[in-house]
Amino acid sequence: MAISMGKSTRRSLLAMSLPVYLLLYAPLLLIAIFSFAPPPLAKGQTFYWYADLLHSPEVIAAFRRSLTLAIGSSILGTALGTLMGFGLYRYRDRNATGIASALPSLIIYTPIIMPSLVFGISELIFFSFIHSATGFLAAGLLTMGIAHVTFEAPFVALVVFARLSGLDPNMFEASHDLYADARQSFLHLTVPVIRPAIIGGFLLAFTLSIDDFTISFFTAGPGSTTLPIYIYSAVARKGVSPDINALATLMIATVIGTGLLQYMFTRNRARKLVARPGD
Amino acid sequence: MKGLMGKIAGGALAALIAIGGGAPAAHAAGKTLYLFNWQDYIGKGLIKKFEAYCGCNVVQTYYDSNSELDAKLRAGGDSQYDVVVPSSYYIPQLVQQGLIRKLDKSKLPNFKNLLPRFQNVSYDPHDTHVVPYQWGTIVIGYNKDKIKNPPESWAALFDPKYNASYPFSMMKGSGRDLIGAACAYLGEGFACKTKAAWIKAAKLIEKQVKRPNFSGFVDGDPTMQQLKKGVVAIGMTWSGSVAQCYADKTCLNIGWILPKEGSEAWVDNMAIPTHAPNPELAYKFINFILGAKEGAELSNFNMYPSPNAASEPYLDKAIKQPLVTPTAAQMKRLSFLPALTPAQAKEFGAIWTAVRQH
Repeated sequence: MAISMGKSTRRSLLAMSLPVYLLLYAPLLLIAIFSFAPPPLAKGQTFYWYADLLHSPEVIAAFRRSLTLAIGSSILGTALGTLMGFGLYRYRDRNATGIASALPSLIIYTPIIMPSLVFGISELIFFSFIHSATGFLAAGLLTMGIAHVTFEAPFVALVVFARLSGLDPNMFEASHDLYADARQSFLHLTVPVIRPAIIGGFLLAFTLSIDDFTISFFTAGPGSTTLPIYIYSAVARKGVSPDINALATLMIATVIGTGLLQYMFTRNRARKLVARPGD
Repeated sequence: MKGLMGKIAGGALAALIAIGGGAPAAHAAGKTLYLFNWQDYIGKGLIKKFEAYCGCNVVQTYYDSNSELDAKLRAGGDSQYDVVVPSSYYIPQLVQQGLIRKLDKSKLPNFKNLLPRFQNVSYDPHDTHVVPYQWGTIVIGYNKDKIKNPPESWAALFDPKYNASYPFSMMKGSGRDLIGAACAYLGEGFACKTKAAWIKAAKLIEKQVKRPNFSGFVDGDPTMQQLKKGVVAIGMTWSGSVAQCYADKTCLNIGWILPKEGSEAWVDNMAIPTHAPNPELAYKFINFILGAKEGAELSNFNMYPSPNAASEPYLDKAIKQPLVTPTAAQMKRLSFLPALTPAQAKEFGAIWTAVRQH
């Protein structure tokens, strides 16, 4: 819903926010620019480093692992997150006050607020305890997947809950009047309405997983290097070089692309599906 | 509703388990060696040779510091990796924690190839737990165009007289190397062990941090990169990093100093974690590296001297230069870092953290 504001207000807000955006995005732009630097003993801007990436088996392997992890954990995270979001909406106690009203969301949203370092270390301790006690859950792709699902689901829950909260509650009454039971209401009313939120949540979870470093670093095992971990160890070893810039630019492009997709999905269709009184 | 969601969830979970479960299945097949090593420490050619020799697959994972190795081993890594490569000063700690196992020398016939100096070492009496892999020294690297005629001493780094305005860096990491260097400069000897000596060294380092041309704490390998790019003009680095640079011919204007007050001789060693999934393959790998030709190929790749006497005839000329293999006179200046008891390690950690916080 647009807040009405005058032209001069709009202009001055833009003038204030543009420098902030510049400050935030200028470093990323620099990385992209330097990824076209010429290789030693050559001149001119080239795609040399991008081609070089394709020939590095370690990068390809890390990319494959990142992708597998991201897709697998996003699917599971979205499924769990949608259920959590729906549960938050359906079973919220409208008459509760103070802590009691905030408690369910507080519990579910804790991984969002928690610093990823603390989260990663606690997952590491948990998995190593389980491993020493039972021999299952050796550090590796599976433990990374579990940790990723755990921190993605609340984000999806947040998106779905926000979407549901914008719904007119009378619609649920209406569907009950039309003899729909709980299951039919969910399938035929809720899911189609929150579908953009589910897709948006999936894309958000995907982005979070691809980008994640600290949690992956702590829960990784032998041979389970993902792209961010690879970039980190390459930078720690020899500093920033054009091939790392190329890799980073590709990741930035992926995340921006996914972000745009997500924005399109969670925004556009909303208008059409919410019934407003007087329509 | 629950059916659809449940199906998706079930499918994803199955997919995830298939991905994660794939790894342990390969474990059990007994044909994979999990090597946990420093970056760029073994050439791809040598790995391929070993894979052909043992008919197995090698999966390499890397770490940047001994403390990272320690943390990963303690968090369950001791049942996931077959061969690890800790540094000498860390080994008593790993042994005490029960993270690496006693070696069965009968499975390592090539052990006799090692130089006498590297057998029955002080950090591992009677070589019960580890076998030397590579060794090296810490040197000062400097830009010959900017810093003219520096003395053969730590004063080149610590004394503003020799470097008033060019950026310099000091070594990051565990702090043992830098504190040792400061101790050596102050006359306490590189292998200083007392709290008083450490505190004197820490105060010297803090004075250095306050100099306007101090550019930061940087690890050995990145220091070499920074020297090449001109970001710093002088810093502490590994002897092999400088040698690799000379071999590439990319830093002909970088000079090196082995200070006369003393510097570090460090030894990286191969060890087998206690619950390694494939100890037989691990023994095969260690024995393979101890071979005469393989030891030489390893040194020729990473430009560090070899502890292997039998490799001597196969080493490149570049390994025999004093930068890589110090002369007898230079060897007198080198000391191993002493191992610390847990109480001493805690004290040291507190002092180093205080230094880093300025």
